[in-house]
Amino acid sequence: MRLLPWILTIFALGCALLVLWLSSDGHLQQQLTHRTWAFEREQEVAEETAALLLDRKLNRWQEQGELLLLANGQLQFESRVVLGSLTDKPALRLLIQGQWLLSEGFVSFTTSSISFLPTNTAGKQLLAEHESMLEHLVKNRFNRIRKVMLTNEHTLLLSEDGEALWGLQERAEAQRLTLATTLW
Amino acid sequence: MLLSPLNEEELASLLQKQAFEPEEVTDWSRPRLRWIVASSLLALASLCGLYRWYLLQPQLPPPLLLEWQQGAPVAIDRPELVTCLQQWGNRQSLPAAEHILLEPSDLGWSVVWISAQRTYNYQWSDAQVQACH
Repeated sequence: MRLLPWILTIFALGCALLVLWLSSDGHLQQQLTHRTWAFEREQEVAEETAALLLDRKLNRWQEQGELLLLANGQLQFESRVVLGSLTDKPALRLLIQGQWLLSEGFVSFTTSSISFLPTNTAGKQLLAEHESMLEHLVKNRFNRIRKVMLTNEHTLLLSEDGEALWGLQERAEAQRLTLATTLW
Repeated sequence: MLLSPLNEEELASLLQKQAFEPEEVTDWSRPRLRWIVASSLLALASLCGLYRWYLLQPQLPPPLLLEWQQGAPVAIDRPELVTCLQQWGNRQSLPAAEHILLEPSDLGWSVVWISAQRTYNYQWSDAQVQACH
């Protein structure tokens, strides 16, 4: 009976600290980092923007990629992009390195370097003619502040007003061969 | 008649002393009890906080088709739209969906197809959504 107040106090403080931790950005950050988030998307591109930047009528943006967020605020984004136009389908590999910051349930992405590698002739031609403009187009799509929602342990939704919802899923790691598994 | 071992003078003095004595300390003002009450209230408030945190978690409700409205999923009861989306998904060779999210955007409708292994993002025009109705 004499220990009851102490037990109650410790329990109450523990619960209070747990609530604070669960509601904090730190907890969400821990859930997002060191996991590879994969996605596929196929979207319309505003034709006027593409026509202005790239001198051609692009209408679709097909992408398959992965996003890796590190605890030190660095990010790596890698994807294969196929642009749909009336004449050809330029294909590129896109690599972005940059920073991410989480605050009050919103995440901001900032690019520090973007590199493209063409994977077909149309892509090579597009890069030769409009690499700088393509970079602007990619930055405009990527450098945003989005609301973060983890709908379950493995699905991440990023949303912003007026823009398309972006769903990503934790990539299931393929089992790698190790000496132990080989021997067994 | 009740016999008392005290004489009248002693009895009067005792009654007088009792009358002028400060009141006994009540249970509520005891520090230990105040401590118990305060920590119980804190524990209760923390448990309420935990429950509120749990309720605020954006878990997707069971229906397959959901509309994303202001950062929260809302179930849509449109069986014909679900069937149409599933047929479209079959044509695209998509794996079975656990959830399909729709959200209006500037360029039409965002369609997020969440399967067990992968998530696919598409954009549908208003005409495509209307054609499904």
